[in-house]
Amino acid sequence: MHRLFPLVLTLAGCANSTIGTSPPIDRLYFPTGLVHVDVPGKTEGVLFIANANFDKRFSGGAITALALDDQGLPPLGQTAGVKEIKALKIDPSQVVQIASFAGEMAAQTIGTDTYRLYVPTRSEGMNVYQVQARIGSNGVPSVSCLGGGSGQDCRETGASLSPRQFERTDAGVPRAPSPYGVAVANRTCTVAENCCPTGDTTCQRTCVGGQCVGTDGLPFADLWITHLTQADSPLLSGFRARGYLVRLDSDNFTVNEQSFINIGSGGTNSVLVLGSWVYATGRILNPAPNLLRIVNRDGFVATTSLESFFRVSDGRGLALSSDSNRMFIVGRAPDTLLIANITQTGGIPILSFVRGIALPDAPNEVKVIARPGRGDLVVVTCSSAGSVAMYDDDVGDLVSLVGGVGVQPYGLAVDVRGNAARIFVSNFGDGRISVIDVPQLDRPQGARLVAHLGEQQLCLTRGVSSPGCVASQEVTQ
Amino acid sequence: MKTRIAVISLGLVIVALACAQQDRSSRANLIGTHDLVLVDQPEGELLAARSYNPDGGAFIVVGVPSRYVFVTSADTNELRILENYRTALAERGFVRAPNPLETLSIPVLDRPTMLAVDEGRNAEGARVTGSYVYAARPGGAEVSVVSVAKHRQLGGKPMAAPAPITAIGTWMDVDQTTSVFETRLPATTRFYAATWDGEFSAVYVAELPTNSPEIDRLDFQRKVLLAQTPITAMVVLPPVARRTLDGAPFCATKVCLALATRADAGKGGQALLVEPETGRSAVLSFKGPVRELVSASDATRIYAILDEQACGSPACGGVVAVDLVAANSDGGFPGSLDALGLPMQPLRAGDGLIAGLTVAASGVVQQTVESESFDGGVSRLEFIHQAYEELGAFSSSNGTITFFSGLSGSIIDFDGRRSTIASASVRLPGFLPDGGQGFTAVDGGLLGSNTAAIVDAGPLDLSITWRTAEVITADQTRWTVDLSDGYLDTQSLLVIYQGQIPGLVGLPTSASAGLHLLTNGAEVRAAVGDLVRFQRPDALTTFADCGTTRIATIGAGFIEVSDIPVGCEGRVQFSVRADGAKPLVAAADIEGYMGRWAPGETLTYNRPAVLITAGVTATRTALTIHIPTTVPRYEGAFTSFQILGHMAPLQITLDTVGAGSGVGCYTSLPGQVTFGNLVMDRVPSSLSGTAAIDFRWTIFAVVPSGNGLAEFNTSYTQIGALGRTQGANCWR
Repeated sequence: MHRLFPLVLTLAGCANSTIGTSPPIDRLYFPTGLVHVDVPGKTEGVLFIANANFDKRFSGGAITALALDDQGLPPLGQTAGVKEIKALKIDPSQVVQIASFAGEMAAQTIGTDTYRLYVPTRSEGMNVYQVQARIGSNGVPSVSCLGGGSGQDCRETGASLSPRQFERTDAGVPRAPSPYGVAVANRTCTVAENCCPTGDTTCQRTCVGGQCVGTDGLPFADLWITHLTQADSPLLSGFRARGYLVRLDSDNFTVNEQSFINIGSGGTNSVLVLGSWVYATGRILNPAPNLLRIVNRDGFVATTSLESFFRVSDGRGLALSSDSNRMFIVGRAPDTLLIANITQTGGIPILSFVRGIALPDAPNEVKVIARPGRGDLVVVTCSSAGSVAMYDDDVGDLVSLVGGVGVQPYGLAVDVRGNAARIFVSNFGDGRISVIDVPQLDRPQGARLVAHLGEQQLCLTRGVSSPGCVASQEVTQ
Repeated sequence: MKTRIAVISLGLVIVALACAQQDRSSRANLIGTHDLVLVDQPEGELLAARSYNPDGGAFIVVGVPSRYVFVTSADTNELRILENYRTALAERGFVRAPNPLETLSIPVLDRPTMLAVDEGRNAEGARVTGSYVYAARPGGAEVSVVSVAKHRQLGGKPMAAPAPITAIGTWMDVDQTTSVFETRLPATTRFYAATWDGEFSAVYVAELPTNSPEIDRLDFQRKVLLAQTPITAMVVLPPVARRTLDGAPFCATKVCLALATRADAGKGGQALLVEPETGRSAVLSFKGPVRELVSASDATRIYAILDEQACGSPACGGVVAVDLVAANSDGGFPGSLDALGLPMQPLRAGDGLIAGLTVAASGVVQQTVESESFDGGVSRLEFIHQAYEELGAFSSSNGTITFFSGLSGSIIDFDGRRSTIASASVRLPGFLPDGGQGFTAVDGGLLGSNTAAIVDAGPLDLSITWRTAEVITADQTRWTVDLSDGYLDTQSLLVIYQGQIPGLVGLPTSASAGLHLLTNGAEVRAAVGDLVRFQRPDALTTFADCGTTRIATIGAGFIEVSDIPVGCEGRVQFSVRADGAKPLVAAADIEGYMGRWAPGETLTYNRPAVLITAGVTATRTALTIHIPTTVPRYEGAFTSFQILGHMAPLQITLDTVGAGSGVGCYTSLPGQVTFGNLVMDRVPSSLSGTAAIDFRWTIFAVVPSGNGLAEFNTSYTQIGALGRTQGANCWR
C-alpha cells in the first residue's frame, strides 16, 4: 500500500492545474525571484515576489506585490532585534497566480508608475509570464494579467518555451525546458531600423529619443531567458542535447522558431545584458560546464572557456559592476565568487578572471551595490549556509557575513538609500523574506538582519516533525 | 527477539572494534577546505631531525617537522586535524573524537577560512611551532584560539578583535642558543591581526602566555595605523642582523611587519616593511600591487603574489620576490635577481589565478637529469631527488601546482635534457606553367622539393648547458647551430631567402595611396631595395599578385615604392620581401620575427630565459647560427630547423579518476579540480608501524572543489596528473 503513495503523488502532480487550492494570498510559499521598486512619497517602496509553490501543494505559484510601507518594517539602521512580521498586509489585487516553479524575475519600467514583470516557470508548459504591475496614486501596488487570464489567475497567459508544435516534430526542437533566468533590456536606437529584426524595415516599431518604441506604443525591450535542462532531439531520446538562449520581443511576447538561439552544450542559469552582448552562465555539465557564453541578437555565440582557468563545476547568478568593467559570477564546486574583467574593443568582449573569493555553502544569486567614490559592494545569497555574504571591491575580499538569515536564502533585491541600503532576501525553504540593513555602505561589516517578512512555512515545506516547524510552534498555535 | 539480539550484538562488536582501533579516522567529512597549517606538538617528544641531500650527501638542517595538519571545514564552522605521525602507527588519519566512531571536531568561529600557528625560528633557522592555532575569517571581528595540545577552542568561544580582520600572523621569540633538538617554547607568543573598519586599517598585537591551559580574551595593542587603505596581506618577519635602511640597521633586532595594501579596486596598492617600534618603513619593490606575502625561511627574501586586478588579467599576476637585506629611502628593498643576474620575472601557471604560495628551505623534488649513457644514440633521462635552497610551489585555480627555485628565480625544468635541433630540411620552389616559381601547384598539390638534411648533434657534454649541431643539407651546405638550454621552446625555425617580413604582409593599400604605403611601425624591419608585391582582388583566390616593385624610401610609419607595376591599378594590399644586402628572414613559430641576415653572416638571437636550467649562472645568447654563403637563392626558399626545447615546467595535477591510482577528491566533476592554499615541509611518518620515523618532503594543498586535502610526496613528482602510485593522496 505504501508503495503506491509516491505514484499517487506523481499522478496528483500531473493533474489539471485548475483543480486544487489557490495559493494563499497572505503568505509566501517557496519565494524565489525578487524585484524592488522605489515609490515616490514612500520610504520603503514595493517588493515584488515570485512564489514557486515548489511542492505543488497549491494549484499554482504566484507573484505578490508587497507594499513595504504597510508592513511595519523597522526604520533602516535601527539596532533593535530581529522583527518578525508574520501577518502580511496583502490585498487580493496584489497577487496574481502563475504556474509553479517560478525562477528569477525581471522588471521593465514602462512608465512612472507601471512595470512589466517577467518570470519563467518550470512546471507544465515551461511557461514564461508577463505580468503588469501598477503603483496607484496612493502608492499602493496592484498586479494583473496581460494577454488574457481570468481575474487574478494568469496561469493560461504564459508563453511556452517548450511548445507542442516543436516537441511533436521529428527533431523535437527547439525547446527550452526548465526556463529559469531572465533579463530584460530596453533597446536603444539611432534609427527605427535598429528596433526591427535584422533586414526587416517594416516591423512598425519606432525610434523615439534613442529608445525603441514597440508596436504596443510602450518602450520596446529584448527579453532573454535561460533554461536549466538541455533539450534533446528527438524529444525524450536523450540524444543531441543542446542548450538555447531564448529571446522574446516585449511587444509581441510570442514564441516561434526564431526565438531560440542554439548555444551548444549545457543548460544555462542566469543572463545579463551589456550593450549588444548577452552573457549567460552555464550549469553543471560533464566534463566541464560552459561557464559563460556570449551571445548577440544575430545569433552569434562565443564560449569564453573561463572554466579552464578557474575550474568550477557550475555557474549560477551573475552581475555587472557599476562601471560595467567587471563581472561577478557565482560558481559552485568550489563555491566561489568569480571576478572577471571585461575588455570591449568593438569585437567580441574578452573576459579574464582576476580573482576568486571563497563563498559559504551553495551560493546562488548576486547583486551589486554601487558606492560613489568607492568600490562596489557585492551581495551573495548562500543557500545551504543560510547566510548572505558581502564582498567589498575596495578590500578585495569578503567583509561581512550575515548568518541565520533563514532556510535556503535564494533571491535578492536591494533598496539603496544614499549611503545605506536595505537588502531583501527570499528564503526559499521557509517562505519568508529576510530584511538586512547596511546602515553605512562604507562600513558593510555593520550589516545585520533586522526583520523577517511573512509567516514561516517550515511545517508545510519540511513537515510537522521537522526541527524548524517544532521550534516555530506553528502547529501548536 | 532473535533479530533484536543480533542487532544489539552487532552494535557492540562495532563499538568494540572501533575502540580497539587507534585514534585515527580516515574520513572527516570536510566541507569548505580553505586553509591549513602544519603544526608540531608543543610538548613531549620532539621529532626534530636532520636529513641529507640525496644527491649532495651533505647534511642539512630541516628543523622540527610537522606532526599535524590543521585544516578548515569552513561550512561546518570547525577545524579537523590530520595526524601524520604517532609512534608505532603505520596508518595515518584524522584525529578521532572521544567517541572513536567520530572524527574529532574543533568548533570555532563561523566560517573559518584563515589559519595561523604560533611560529618562530631556532638557532639553526628551523621552523618551530607553538601551542595555539588561530582561526579567523575575512571581515569577522573575532578570532578563535585553539590549543594544539588539547585539541579544543580555548575559552569555549571566539574572542573579540578590535575591528574586522583582513589578515593574521604570529611570532614567537624562540631561544636562539639551543640546538634544534633541544628547543623549548618561550614564555610568551604574539598574535597579530590586520584590520579594516572602512576608514582605517591597523595592525594589532596580542601577547599571550605560550601554553596557558585556558585563555578567555585577547588584549590587543595597536602597532600600525594607516588611513584609507586596507591591508590585504601581512607577514611577521624576524629580525635579520645585517638588514639596513640607508646604511643604518633596520628591522635588525626586532620583529617587523611586511604589509600589502590595496587601492583603487586592486589597480593600486603598496607593499611595505614596517618597523613597529619606530614607525619607520621601506617599500618592497614588487612589480605591482600584491595580494599575498610569504617569507623565505631565513627572512632575507619575501615572495608575493601579484594582484591580477592591477591590469585586469592574469598577464600581470605571478610570483615575484624582493630581497630583504639592504634598502634605501628612494627605492626601498629591491626586487630579487634571478640566477642570471637579471630581475626575476613573474612566475606564472598559464591563465589560472595563483591561489596559494609556499617556500621551504632545502626542499626536495624529483626531477630528471640527462645521462651520459646513451640508448640508441639518444641520451637517457634519469630521475633524481634534487634539493633546493629555497624550493617554492604555488597552486592555481586551473588545478595545477608549479614548483620553482627561489634563488634561481625560475620554474623548475623537469626535463633535464638540453635543447637541441631534432631535424632540418630544405624547401625549394618549383616551376609553374607560366614560367614563374611557387610552392603550390595549380591543382593545389606540392610543388618543388622538400629535402631532409642531416643533423649531427655532436657528442654529449654534460658540463655545458648548450648544444652545437651541424646541419648538412643535400648539397653539402653546412650550417652550425648553437642552442642554449632554457631559452627556446619546441618550435620550427625558418631561414627564408627573400622571405616575407612579418608585420609587412597583407597590409591594405589602394590606388589613391599612390607610392606611399602605410606600415604601422613595421617599416623598421624593411630596407631600401626590398621587394614589394601588390595584390588585387581575385574571385577565385581572394587575392592575386599583380606586380612587384621595390622600396625607394622609408619614413616613420610608411614606405614609398619606386613605381606602381602595370596591372596593379586595382591593388588592395601589399607585402614586403627581404632583398638586397640582407635577403634572409629568420622567423619561428613562437618567437615570431627574429631578424634578417646575409648569407655568410652569423645569426644571433637573444631573449630572456624561459626556464633557468640548474647550474646556469650567466646569460648566454639563445641561438647562434653560422649561415653558409651557399644558401638556395630562390624567392621563398627556406631551410627549416625543428627545435626541441626539452622544457617541461615541473607542474603537477591531481589524478582523480585514474584506474587503480585515482584519488577521488572531487564533488561534482572529476576534471574540475581547483587548489587553494598549500604548505610544504618535511613530514614525519612511522615506518611500517614501528617507532622508527621516516621524513619525507610533502605538499599539502586544500582542494575546495572536492572538499579535500591533497597530499603530494615530492619524492615522486613528475609532470602531469599524480595518483596514489605517484605519491598523491586525498584526505576528506
